[in-house]
Amino acid sequence: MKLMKKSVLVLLFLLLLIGCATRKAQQPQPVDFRTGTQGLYMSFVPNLPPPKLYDREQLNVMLQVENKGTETVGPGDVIYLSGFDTSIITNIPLQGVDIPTLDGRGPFLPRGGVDTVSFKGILQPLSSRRIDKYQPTILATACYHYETIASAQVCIDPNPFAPTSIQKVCTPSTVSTGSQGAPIAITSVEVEAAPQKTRFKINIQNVGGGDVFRAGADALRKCSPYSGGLGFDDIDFVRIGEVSISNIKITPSCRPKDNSGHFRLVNGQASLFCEYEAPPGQSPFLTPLNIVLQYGYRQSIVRQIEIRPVS
Amino acid sequence: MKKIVVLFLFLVACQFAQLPAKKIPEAIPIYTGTSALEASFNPATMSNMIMCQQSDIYVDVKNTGAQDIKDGTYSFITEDQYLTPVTERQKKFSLEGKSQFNPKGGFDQIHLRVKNLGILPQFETYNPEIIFQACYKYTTSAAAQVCVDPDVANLNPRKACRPEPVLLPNGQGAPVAVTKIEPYMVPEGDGVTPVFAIYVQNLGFGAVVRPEGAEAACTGGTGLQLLSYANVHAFLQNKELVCDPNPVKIESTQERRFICQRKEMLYGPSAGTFSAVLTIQLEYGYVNSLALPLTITRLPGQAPCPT
Repeated sequence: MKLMKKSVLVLLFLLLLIGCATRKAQQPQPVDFRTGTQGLYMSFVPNLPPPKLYDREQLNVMLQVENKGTETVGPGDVIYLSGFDTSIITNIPLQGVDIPTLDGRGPFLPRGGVDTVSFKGILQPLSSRRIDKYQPTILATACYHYETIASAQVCIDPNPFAPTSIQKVCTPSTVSTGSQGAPIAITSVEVEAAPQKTRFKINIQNVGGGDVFRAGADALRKCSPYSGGLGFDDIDFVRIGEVSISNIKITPSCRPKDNSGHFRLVNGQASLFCEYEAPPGQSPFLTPLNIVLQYGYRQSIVRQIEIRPVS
Repeated sequence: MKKIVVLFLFLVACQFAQLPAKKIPEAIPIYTGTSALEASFNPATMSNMIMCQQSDIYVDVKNTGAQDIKDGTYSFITEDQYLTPVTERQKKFSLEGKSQFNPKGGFDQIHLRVKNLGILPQFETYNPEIIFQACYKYTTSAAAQVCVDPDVANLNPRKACRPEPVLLPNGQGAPVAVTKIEPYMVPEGDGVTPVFAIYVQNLGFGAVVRPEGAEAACTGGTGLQLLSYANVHAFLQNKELVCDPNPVKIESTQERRFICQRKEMLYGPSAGTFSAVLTIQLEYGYVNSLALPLTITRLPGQAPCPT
């Protein structure tokens, strides 16, 4: 019995010690945030719009917008509502509604900005049209600018074929980069070393499920469902923001590109060829290749609603 | 104590009882079906009569269409040498159509009393027919969602809708039905003019006459007014379109097509792609007929009817 009492006391003492142990203040740890294939994520707030409503009610549409990527979405970026007869649903701004500024994810910010965008429509009476119901498909289109920033550790070997007995720290090879927290991803960088010149084949893919188009305010205006639309010369174009290696800009060497620095994606994919002239006599070394791509992006979601006349 | 425990268990069990699901009243579709006036002889009708006696004919009429019948005319056609009407054989009538507040439509009963004037001496029985005819103006109101798409080059592949034929197989609560609508986006400059090919057919059991001939069809009128034509009106975004041909010939078992458009109705890119309501109104006269075979029997040795 005594033994049992003792063991209970020891146990209580241990528990007390554990309880009194000072807690270490948790330091925020930086995380690898440049991952993921989405930029802006948009969804209808449940029941806004409701699936069924009557023509004397107000049509409330609310979209939740979340920046799931790593760049800021905001000023100048717009969400449009379309797909309905403007003589039946009025008061919806056809010029769209600005997307509030949403910060992207960062090393100490595991989640990007979240906000809502709302539209309030006025329904016109349906009874005069002698229709049992009107079932438009509401299309919400987001048009925004975005950037992809990728960094890949590449091996530069200025003398790849030199006969030498010195052990090399690296061998130029293909670097897989995955995704970078943006809808346009740099999937891999192929490195081809030649004497004093290293060529890079940068493989790019549209992985966000939307449409990519030329960067710039002009193309952003054309993205509106109430405009002439993005033409063949606008859609599937991405601008080379910057390509640099060891802080040396090699953007001018990149091909293909047009006068405004854009290149075209074919079937959602493209390859960019850039080259770097390494100083002679250097031994192979690893260095980050930084790539910045700029573009406009369009995404849309749909929701069907049913409007019935009250009488 | 046991009692309390049992009561407690009982109460707890009640918490888990499923409540009956709440029923949300469904809106009744009004603009559906291919009938207007439905007439039938009531079983109380005396179809067998004895010579020189009178018979009561009852016709049940209901308006199962979506429009009200106003100032319709009905008439009974009898063989006047054998049957003479005691009550009015021709009269005006009105009957409410289907609505949310009257989902089955209006119902009425028409009565005719006829008296037999005798049959030929060589006959023991005679079988004449009484024909009931109802003539009225009716309107088909069809509304369909059509897609207006100024982006014919498909520069914007993400659209809320695409212009595709709309099939309307169930009628619009009227005997003449719009069966199909084919939208065409005709490019004009930077925009498009929507053009609609509309198909109509008489799917009811009666005959179509011009709207101005609706009364004449039941009162023995003749002329062009009895031809099977319907006047057409079509609206898009509350603006009337021009339809051709108008009036359109409506025949049973045969689908007829007409084109509606409005030249000045031009949708540019700024209009966007959207679902609009195309409203079509067909105005016509409609004639329903119904025949009742009667049997007039002479009793053995029965004398001719007194005049």
